[in-house]
Amino acid sequence: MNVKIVDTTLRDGEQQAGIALGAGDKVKIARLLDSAKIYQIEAGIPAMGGEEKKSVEKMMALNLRSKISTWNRMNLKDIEQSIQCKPDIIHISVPASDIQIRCKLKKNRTWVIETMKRCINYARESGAEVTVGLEDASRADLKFVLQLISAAFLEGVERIRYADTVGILHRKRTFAEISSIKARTDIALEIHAHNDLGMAVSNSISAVKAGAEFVDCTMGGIGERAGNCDYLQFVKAAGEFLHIFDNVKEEEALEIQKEIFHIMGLH
Amino acid sequence: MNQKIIDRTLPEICERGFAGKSDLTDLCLLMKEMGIDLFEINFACLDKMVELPGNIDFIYRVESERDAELCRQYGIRECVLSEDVFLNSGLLKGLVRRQISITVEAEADTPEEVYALERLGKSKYTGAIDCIRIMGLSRCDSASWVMAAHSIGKALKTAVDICPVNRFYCATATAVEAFLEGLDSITVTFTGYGGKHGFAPLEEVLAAIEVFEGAKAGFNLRLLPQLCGLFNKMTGIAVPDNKPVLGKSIFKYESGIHADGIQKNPLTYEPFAPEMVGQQRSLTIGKHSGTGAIAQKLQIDFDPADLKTILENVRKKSIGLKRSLTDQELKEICMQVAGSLKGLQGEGGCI
Repeated sequence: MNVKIVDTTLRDGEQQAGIALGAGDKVKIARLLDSAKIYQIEAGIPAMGGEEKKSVEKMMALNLRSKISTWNRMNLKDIEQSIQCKPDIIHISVPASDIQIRCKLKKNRTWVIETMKRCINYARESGAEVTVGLEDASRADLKFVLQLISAAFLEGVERIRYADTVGILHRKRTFAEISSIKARTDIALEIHAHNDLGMAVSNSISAVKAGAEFVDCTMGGIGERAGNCDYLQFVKAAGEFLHIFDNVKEEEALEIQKEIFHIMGLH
Repeated sequence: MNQKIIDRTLPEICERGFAGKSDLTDLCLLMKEMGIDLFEINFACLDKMVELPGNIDFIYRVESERDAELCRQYGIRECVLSEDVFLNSGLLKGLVRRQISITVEAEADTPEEVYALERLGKSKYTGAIDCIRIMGLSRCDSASWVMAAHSIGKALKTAVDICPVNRFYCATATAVEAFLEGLDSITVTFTGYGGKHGFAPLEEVLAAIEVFEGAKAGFNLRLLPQLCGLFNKMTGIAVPDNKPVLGKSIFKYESGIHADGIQKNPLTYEPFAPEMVGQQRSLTIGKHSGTGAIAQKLQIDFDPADLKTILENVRKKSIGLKRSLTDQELKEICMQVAGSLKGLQGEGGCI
């Protein structure tokens, strides 16, 4: 079983109300995550401009082993900002649930599919790997989720993020959803679990058991509201249940987490 | 709801020497109002509480010969005893004679270990067991353990209670699974407090049931902030700001994307309404804010150019301070950029 960690401490983690990092701090944290042999660092949102964009450019200049990705709303202007940073991966977040599509975007499913396709093509022209995140997938119609995945796959996307944006999955349902997608597509899956009901770790484990190859985590589980899947907790649980990440030394990882928290001003 | 929620926070608190009589009673009363069915206590709790509040059902941990008589004296109708104590026939006879309902607590971490609990059926006192509590389940990561638990209940002809231990951070998932799969009861502690690795946090389990089952769950989680305060007073433990369900920052939102979504419809970025757990949402301003969020916070019509400058200054200041801005700090930035702002100081502005 080959499971890769996508660390989103610098994007979703930093979105926890009360955390704010400048370019220098983000670069220091990226170096620490790289030393922890994290596969991918979700570095931030270049569309915010200023320090945020600068931080991604600086990270790219470091030539880290970890892949650097940027997070983008589904629009060409945001993606253009990312392209200018020359990241390894451009991630496009696509609202998937009707509540997101109707209430937030005030659009319909057809518009979402067409806009997603345009955004993927535009991002792929830059030569970067493009991944698509299905925002609020856990509250979306599975048929539409599959439709989005097929459309993205046809445009050349090889990995989809299944986001439990508001943290309402439980492990039986997680297993069922990921299994259904895996049974119908050949695409690689990434689980993005939120911890609103205290089940982010167990849901991530369940997703891997169902076939997900990538797991999103943050250091200390920081993130929006009650946070994301906690990296150290996930690694420990994955060691027990999946017999993976045996090479991660808990004390070293804890030390890295402490340093990151120190930089962030968290205790 | 036929399934029971059992709380065992009290003995965990008493074991660590915290709490006085009235606090323990208040804790029970608050949790009872919230929807907890049964409260586990032990001799240490009884010793502190002196008398038990009426209209609350207790389950007493039997550890020695004196306990059966204590149950009778205090009118406690249910008891829980470890597997070792269960093998003490003298003690059992006393409980049976006094018609006290017996729960036997046995440890099992894996589905195989759950099946192995059939060993309890070999005792000549098996017929006296009313419920089997499976303690642990920390190595169970899928629903296969539920089949084992149902099978044990059937084999021993008892109800099944589970008390998941949080060793691998899946206790909430296990407890919620037990509820969804129809097991008879779940034993939890507030914030998952106690034991070597902690237990399933009561508030997470109750909130999950409410989210999955809707209003029919019938819990009153609006009392959680009060319970947090009392727990902090008793133990000195402060609940982390981002603790699921309880943390005071879980309904603070800052990022432009979330602020926009929540303004249009809070359901876009909230798993449940903050009011369900006695909280309120609040918009904070910082590095991740957008112009829309600032306009929403200030409730004043700004010149778009000014708003852009305000946002730039907000981001700069927030990064410098490594945190969100206070209302006063935001106000100062606005004053610097746009000069005198009547609305900010009067009733029109919201800061």
